Amino acid sequence: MVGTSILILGGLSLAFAVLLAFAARFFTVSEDPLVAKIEELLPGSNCGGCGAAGCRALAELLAARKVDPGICVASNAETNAKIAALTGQSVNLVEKRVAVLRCQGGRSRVKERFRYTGIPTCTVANLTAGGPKECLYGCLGYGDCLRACPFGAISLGEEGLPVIDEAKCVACGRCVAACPRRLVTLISRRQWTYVACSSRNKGKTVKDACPVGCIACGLCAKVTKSGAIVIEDNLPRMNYEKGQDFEEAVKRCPMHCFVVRFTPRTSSDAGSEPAAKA
Amino acid sequence: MFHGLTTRTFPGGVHPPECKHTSASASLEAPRPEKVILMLSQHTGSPARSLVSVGDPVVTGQKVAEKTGFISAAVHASLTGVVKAIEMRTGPAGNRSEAIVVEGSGPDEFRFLEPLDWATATPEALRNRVGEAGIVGLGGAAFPTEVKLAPPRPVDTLLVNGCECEPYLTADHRLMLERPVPVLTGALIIARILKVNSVVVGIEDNKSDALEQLSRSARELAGTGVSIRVEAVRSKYPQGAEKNLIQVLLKRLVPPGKLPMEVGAVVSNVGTALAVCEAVMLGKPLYERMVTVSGCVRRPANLLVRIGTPISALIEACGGITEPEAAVVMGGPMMGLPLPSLDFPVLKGTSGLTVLGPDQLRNARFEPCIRCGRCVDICPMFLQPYLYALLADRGRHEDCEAAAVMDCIECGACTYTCPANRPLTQWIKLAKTKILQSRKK
Repeated sequence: MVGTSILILGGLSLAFAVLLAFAARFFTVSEDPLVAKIEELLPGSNCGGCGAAGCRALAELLAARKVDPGICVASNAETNAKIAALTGQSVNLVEKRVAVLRCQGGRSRVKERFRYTGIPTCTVANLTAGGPKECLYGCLGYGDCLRACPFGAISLGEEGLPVIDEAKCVACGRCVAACPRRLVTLISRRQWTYVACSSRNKGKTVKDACPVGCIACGLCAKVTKSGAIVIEDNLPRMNYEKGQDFEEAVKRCPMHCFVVRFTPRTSSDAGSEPAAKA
Repeated sequence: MFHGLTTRTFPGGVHPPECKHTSASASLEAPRPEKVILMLSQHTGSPARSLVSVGDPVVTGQKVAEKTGFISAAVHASLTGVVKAIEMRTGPAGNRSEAIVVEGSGPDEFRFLEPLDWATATPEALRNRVGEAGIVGLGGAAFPTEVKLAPPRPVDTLLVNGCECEPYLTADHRLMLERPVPVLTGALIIARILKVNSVVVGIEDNKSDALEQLSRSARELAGTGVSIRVEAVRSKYPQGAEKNLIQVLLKRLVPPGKLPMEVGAVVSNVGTALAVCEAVMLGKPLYERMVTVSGCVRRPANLLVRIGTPISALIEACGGITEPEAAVVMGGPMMGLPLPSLDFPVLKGTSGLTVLGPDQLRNARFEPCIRCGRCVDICPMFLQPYLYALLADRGRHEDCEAAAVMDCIECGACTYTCPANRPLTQWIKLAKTKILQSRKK
């Protein structure tokens, strides 16, 4: 009895082993070994910051030399150089960016229009009569962005506003897409200051709602000699390529809308971030 | 004659307390407001374009904004006076659009369109009139009626929706009792535009007086070659949802993601039918509508209100709010939008204002899902609300889409029935918003 069982099971396993060996030999899908090597180097966070569907998809694109080896925003320059060495291409330095929140209207600064008791997500709060915040452009503070971040770079600060850890942020853009009010934007890491307000309202409406909102007075545009700031839609638009002389604008903004990321060494040479943050 | 258990209905649904306090009292005319705020986007589709500028005098019934694009509707002044401002305002759903503020001055003057003889006018002329009068679906969705009346495929039946299944609201009920002949004439006009010869009026059996009244009027109007049937359906929420009404009255199922015309039907609210009748026979543009004001107000009533009347003026006309911590909801308690302030105007789609006291509001606290399956049992669209809530909470919106979340009509019956007090409809709205966002990309 036992002998029969051993025979049957042994015979079956032998038959399947032969089948598998046959399949492994004749049905194998040949793959570029380079893809596996590149995938090893990539961070594996599948953030989508490069535009590909995930790290595996990017590895395939890189192995086929269809994209620049420096495209991965989540890896550092060293890793990208390694990838470049593998594919035999040269890295055309992709400019490093960082996510910033364009709102400073925290809990203590902006009133609530009503008490929101729904599920704690920004998207649904925003659908409820335009959101509980007095400012219809301001951050709702329910953290849709931090739940979207694959790198744990965003946390909620004391004011109920998300705080972005620039050391962890790779600018993949997940938070940009998650925010129902589009308050997070990606800026160049070389840009030392940015306007932290998104209200397209006119000055009086903004002032009634928020003490740190941009009232579109136009002073920043006037004092920036290079013309790198223009007012569009009641908000200053900064053209970083045109000039970096924003010191006067930062100093004189009556609503303190500018957030300084780091101090530039000189006006003309504003373009390098301190090494600690890079 | 119309007995509760013999009437037809759809599977599922809930029975919230009816609270139809205002159904027995005659409707009143609201006092003339001092100013009206005419939102240029109070319908589904692209906002209207203003035809007036600040300082212009306007008279009641004058067209002040024209439609833009295919799905859009004109807006008419509802007050005689002067345009005080044209400003950006936020609607109750958080949508921002321009609004024309008219301040009343002097006695009311009216500017109507030329009346038409509906029996001899061509269907095209009648349909154009519906568009010129700025008529939209008055049941709540505010879809431009002119567009609805030009279905790209042939239809054979017009359903007139007199269900009014939302608790508290009785505006349609009073219209059917007080203006039965104009309502049915409006239905006949719509039938002429659609070239159908079968009209079915669906009314919930808790409105037996309206059923009898309309049956009587339908007999009076017989002999036009169009058959009018008045049918009782069981009082249940959401009986007035158009896909469920079609299922009950015509025994046809509208396929997922499709419109009623797919099964040869067009559904129109009784208020819309009345507006069509008035626009054709009197030339009257849509500048006023019936609104139920009920709940915690001193004198609940059905009021004939000029569109654009501030909500605060309407609440005042009903004697003010009786509860200190009350919430004002635009629409009924099941699907209505809570208002953050009384600064909003009455829109074309505003069927009622429900003032809910603190003890009637939902407790915000909710518990984990216990998989009891009640929401699945009662869902009128045969969906799985508990699943969408769990998936949406974890950001798995694609999985919601695969499980047909887009077929949800957001009636709120699942939230009403959930023993764990879970705000299921909110999660479904979250998933739907995210899915639409990713489709746009």
